[in-house]
Amino acid sequence: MKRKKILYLSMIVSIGIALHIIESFIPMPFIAPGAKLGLANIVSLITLVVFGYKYALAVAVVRCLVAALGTGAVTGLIYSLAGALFSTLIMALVHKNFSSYFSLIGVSVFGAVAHNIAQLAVASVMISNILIFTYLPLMMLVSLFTGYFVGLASIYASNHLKKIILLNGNNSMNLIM
Amino acid sequence: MTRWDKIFIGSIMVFSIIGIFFVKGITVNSQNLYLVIEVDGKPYKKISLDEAFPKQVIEIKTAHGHNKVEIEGLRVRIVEADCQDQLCVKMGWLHKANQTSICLPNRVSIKLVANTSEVDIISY
Repeated sequence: MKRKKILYLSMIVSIGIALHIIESFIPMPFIAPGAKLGLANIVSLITLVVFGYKYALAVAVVRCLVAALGTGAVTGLIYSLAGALFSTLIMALVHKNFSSYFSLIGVSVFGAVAHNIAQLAVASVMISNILIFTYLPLMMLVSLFTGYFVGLASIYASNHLKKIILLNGNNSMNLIM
Repeated sequence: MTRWDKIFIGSIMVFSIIGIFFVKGITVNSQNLYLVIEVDGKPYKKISLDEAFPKQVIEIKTAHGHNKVEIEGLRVRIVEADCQDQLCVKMGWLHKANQTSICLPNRVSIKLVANTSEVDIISY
């Protein structure tokens, strides 16, 4: 089971890296500069639901580190790492304690808002200017829509992933290989 | 999507819209001033002003003459000039946007310019 878990997790990480790199090619210039779709958050959320919060944090860290090498944006690493870690942490807390109230969409919106706050906090330290937080309301408004989309995608993906893993629990990996 | 999801998303939406208007309100009133020094009509120096910055004196030495500009917090003045009329010195402190003080014999002009955006460029 442990080997299988590692296999699944590494596949999830590779999907996350691909999404992260593809996402950096998608410009969103019309809404707010710097706004992103947050596609890679789907991966964190799925891991959180299917495997648990420890694995979700690990996946987030590995995804950010490798994707930074892939995109070449090493200064962006600090931003993406802080955002991914904090949002995964918040999503884990919400999912663990309030999952009877919030569906995955709500959890994902929580994560998106946390991601914004963490990134702006890092940015305000980096350029030593607290006024960058005036950008937060606009970013939150945009992240509501992207967060909703991420949540919806995670609901569909995690349902199927749970099924695959349950079916595959004590058998070989024939179904996916 | 549960009821709590809708409540949460709605409250975030309301908060961020209120926040956008609040931010607009404070950025228009902000005293984000720049001092622009021009010599002979060409930009010589551009300095950002802030309450917290220490007092500083800038010397302008050109072929036309010699001036000294003093910056203190959000206000600026010409303290010294080697011209005849000393009009620029008599102008005193400048503390609002678009106020200017000009020393015609030395072809020096200082001007306060307000800039509404704090950041030059944001790159991700």
